[in-house]
Amino acid sequence: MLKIIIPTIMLMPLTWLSKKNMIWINTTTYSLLISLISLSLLNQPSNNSLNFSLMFFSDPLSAPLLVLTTWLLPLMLMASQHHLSKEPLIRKKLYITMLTMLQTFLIMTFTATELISFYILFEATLVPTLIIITRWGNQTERLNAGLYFLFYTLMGSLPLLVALISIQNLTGSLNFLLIQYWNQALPDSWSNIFLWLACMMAFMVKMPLYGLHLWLPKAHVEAPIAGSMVLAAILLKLGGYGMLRITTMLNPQTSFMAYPFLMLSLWGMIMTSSICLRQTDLKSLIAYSSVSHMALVIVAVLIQTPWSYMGATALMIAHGLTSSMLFCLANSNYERTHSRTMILARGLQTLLPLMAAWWLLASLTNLALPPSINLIGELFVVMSSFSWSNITIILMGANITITALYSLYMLITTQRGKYTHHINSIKPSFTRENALMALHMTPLLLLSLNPKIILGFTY
Amino acid sequence: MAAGLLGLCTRRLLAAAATRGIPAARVRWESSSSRAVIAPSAVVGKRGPEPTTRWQEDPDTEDENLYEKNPDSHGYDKDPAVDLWNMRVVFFFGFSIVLVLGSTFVAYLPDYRWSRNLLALAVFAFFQGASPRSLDHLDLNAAQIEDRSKRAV
Repeated sequence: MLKIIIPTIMLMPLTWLSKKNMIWINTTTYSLLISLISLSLLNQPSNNSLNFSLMFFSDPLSAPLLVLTTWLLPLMLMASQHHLSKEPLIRKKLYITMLTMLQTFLIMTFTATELISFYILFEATLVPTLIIITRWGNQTERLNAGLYFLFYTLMGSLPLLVALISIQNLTGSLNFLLIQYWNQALPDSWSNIFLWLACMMAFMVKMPLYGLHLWLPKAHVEAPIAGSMVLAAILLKLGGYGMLRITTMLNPQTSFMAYPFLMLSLWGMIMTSSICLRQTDLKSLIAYSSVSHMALVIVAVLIQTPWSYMGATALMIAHGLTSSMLFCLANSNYERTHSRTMILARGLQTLLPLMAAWWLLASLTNLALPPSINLIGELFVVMSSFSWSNITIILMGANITITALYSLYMLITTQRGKYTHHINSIKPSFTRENALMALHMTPLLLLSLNPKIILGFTY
Repeated sequence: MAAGLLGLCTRRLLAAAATRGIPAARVRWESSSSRAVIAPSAVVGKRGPEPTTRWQEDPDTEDENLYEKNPDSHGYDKDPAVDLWNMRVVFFFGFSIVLVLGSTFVAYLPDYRWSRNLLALAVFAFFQGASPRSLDHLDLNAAQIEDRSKRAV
């Protein structure tokens, strides 16, 4: 694992010591090479983990998420180059340093063997993200967004710290590798119910669960493009990953404690999809779409069947790529019109036809068109939830329909129709933007050919 | 009823006239069956436009058109040389190295489920009394991947 972590840490001195005109080239090159190295982790010979050391490991669940994390850094760098072009050199380097620091913490979080280490790194990811949102966001609302983001996550995760320390006292170890062999059921008591809640709430807030999701639209909308990309693609998946790991220790309480959260998620996915239909702000629509997709992941994780785990893992990877691409597309609009209002930048297909093709592909993957991995994930989740309870098919089916509705609504509003008079002089698409979209879409389409690597450890 | 509807239309027309300052009617007209009257608006001249609410989240930007100085700009940098090299680096490392080599690596990853099944069969056969040399003559097709549809979802 050090072959990934140390090069990532070394991106920081690379940034500070590079010449002015080489910072973006150097960092993009080396971050792409780091992502190449991380692909070796996909070679998972068994359902057990690849144990690199006492501190780091990877298994079929964390490896795809790690590859997604390392793939996303060069994409974030490419997406940020334009809006940072006017900043002083020191601030550009600081921005890249924040992204690199976040990347390092994320890599270590996904590969941590020990739960306390996982917790510390989970919290550590908040700091660079908060700095990115509050320092480089565009509107004054970014300060409020930063507050919501920080305090929602902290409030959820402080009980987790207490719970982890309590479990450490009880069992003597919080190592993932040992916990899977520790098959003791938690006795049924009030304190264990609160232990369950304490363990899960941090990840519920992070996912986010509908009801605890208010931080997400604010943070996603006010963050600059790299912040939105990393929030949507990776940070939400931290919650899913944490839930998948911690539920192994929380049986049998999960079988009855999960009900309220299952209901909230099932209802919440309908609500947030419906909210998307009423959005005027493009980034806000994509943010609420993330809540809806993550509600599916929550349902899958709480049902705890092999297929649902496969669906959850596939959906996390698929949504990571799709949502990041949608934010990049929204940013390409924003850089031209300086407005996030959808109807102000409409009829773009006539002006930017290639970008319209990317919009089409992103919208189609967002609505889980076959044979994309988005469909594979959603289908597995829908099938396993139907097996759990037949009635859920109604809500799931409604959610799939409304997802299709708002995805097509977003596509048609931004691309079709007559363009407005104030945007007929926008600049044509840059190679940078087209390359960015291609680098999002190509892995997504390639994974449709070989989805088994993202189906997790129950495949 | 017609008069009532006409009165309704009158109200709407006059409302339109009040907000837009356009004359709702050119001449005065009085209904013979009711007391409805349509008359030119008393508002002289067009009503001033309302102040535009801020429609841009990020106004007052000074956008630099990269295409102006460099028509072949790829969008990375103002300096054409840096811009060109940045584009080359992204395409070379992003597509040619990572995507091509990476997807080749992933495509050629062995099918571990099949090999685990084969190993399980060989071990089972060994413990059933087969000689160790039978491991050299395994039936590779026997290591069928189990029918997953029969598993619980």
